[in-house]
Amino acid sequence: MGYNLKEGMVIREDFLRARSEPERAARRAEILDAAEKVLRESPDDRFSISDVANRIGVSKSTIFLYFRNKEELLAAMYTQVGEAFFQRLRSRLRRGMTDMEFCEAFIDSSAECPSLVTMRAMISNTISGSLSQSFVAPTFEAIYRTRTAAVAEAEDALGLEPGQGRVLIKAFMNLMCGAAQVSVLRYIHADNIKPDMMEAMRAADARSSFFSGAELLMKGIRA
Amino acid sequence: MSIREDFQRARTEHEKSARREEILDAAERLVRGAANDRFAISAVAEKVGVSKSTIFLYFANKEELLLALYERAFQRFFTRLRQSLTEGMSGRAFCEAFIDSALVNPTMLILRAQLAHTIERSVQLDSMISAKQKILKGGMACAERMELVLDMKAGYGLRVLMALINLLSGAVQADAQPYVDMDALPDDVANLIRTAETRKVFLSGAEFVITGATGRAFG
Repeated sequence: MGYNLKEGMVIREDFLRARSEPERAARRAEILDAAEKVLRESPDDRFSISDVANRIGVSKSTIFLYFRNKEELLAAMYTQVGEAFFQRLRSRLRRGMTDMEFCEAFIDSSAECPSLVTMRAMISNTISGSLSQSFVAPTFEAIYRTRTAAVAEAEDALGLEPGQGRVLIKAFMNLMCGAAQVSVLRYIHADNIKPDMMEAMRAADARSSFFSGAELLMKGIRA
Repeated sequence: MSIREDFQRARTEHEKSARREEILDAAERLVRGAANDRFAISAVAEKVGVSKSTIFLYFANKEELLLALYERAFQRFFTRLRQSLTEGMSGRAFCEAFIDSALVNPTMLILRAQLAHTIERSVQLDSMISAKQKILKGGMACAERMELVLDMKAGYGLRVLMALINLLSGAVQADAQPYVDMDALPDDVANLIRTAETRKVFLSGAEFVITGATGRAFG
C-alpha cells in the first residue's frame, strides 16, 4: 500500500483520488455501479450517499466531487440504465423477427436491467423536482437519443411504418412499468395463499400482464 | 367530566362506516396534497379532529389505511367509467372516457405507484388479498360492460382494462411536467418533456390496444 509514512501521515486523505481523466471516468463508473447495487439491495428503493460511499470505501465528499447531490447521482444512474436497456434491446433486434419475438426481446432486455423499472418510478418526482435545470436537460436528451436509435432499428426489424416504432416503444415501456407496479409475487410466500388466489396473482405478474397488453397492442399496429 | 373522552366515538354500524369514510376522505386530501408531505396517521387524525387511537380503531396501521383508500379509489374509478359507457361508442370515445375517469381523481394512480414496495409489504396478507379480490370484482363488472358497449369477445374486457391501467400508470411515471418549471427550461427541452404528456402518450398507445382488441378502426 502506498501510504506516505515519511511525511508523518499514516494515510493521506486523497490517496485514492483519481487524478487523470481515465481515472476520473473509472471512478465515476465505479460510483454508479455501487449506487445501483445499493439501490437493488434496498428493501424500500431508498438509498443514501453514505451507503454508496461505504460500499466503495471512499468518503462522502469524494462522491460529491462527481455528483453534486443525490438527485444528480440518480439522474446519472437512470441515464446509464436506460442506455444499457436500449443497447440490449437493439442487440436482440433481427430483421423479419416476429411480433412475439420482439415482445420477448423487450421484456428480456428489461429483466437484464432490473433497475430500469425502479429508477423510472423515481425519476419524475424525486429527480426532476430537485435537480438543477442544467442537469435536467442533458438527462432527458441522453435518454431521448438512445431511444431514438432503438426506435429506428425496431421499425426496420418489424417492418413498421415510420412513426409507429416510437409509439410502440413508448407504449411497451409504459405497459411494462405499469405492470411492474402491481407485481407482488416477489414479496409474498406462495405457501400462504390459496391456489385460486395464487392463479389470479400470477395473471397479474409483470411478465404475463405485459404480454397480455403487448399482444393486443401489436395486433392493433398490424390492423 | 364535562366532556367524555369518547363522546365522539361512533357506536352504531352506520356511525362507524360514516367515520371510516371520513377518515378515508381526510387521508385522500393528504395523499393528493403537496408531494413532499409525509403521510402520517397523526396528520389524518388532526384533519378529522380525533385522536390517533381513534384512527387505529379502524385501521391497524398507516399502510392498511392506504390500502383501503386505494381500493376505494379503484372502485370509484370503475363506477365513473361504467357510468360514462354508452352502447356503440367509438374506441376513441372510450379511451377518452377512460382517461378522464382516471385523472379526475389521481389518488388511484398515486397510490398504485406506492403499492408493491411499501403498502403491500406492511399489511396483513388477508387485507391484501381481500383488497385485490374486491378490486378484481369491480374490474370484472366494468369489463363485462366494456365487452358489451365495444362489442368485444368475452375475456377481452378485462385484458383491455388491465392493459390500459398499466399503460396509464406507466405514462404518468414518465410525465415530468408536474415537477419541473417548464418556463425556466430551454424551448427544445421543454418540448421534449411535453412529448411525454400523460394524456397524449396514453391515447397513442391505447389506440392500438383497442384496435387490436376490437379489430375495428379507432374512430
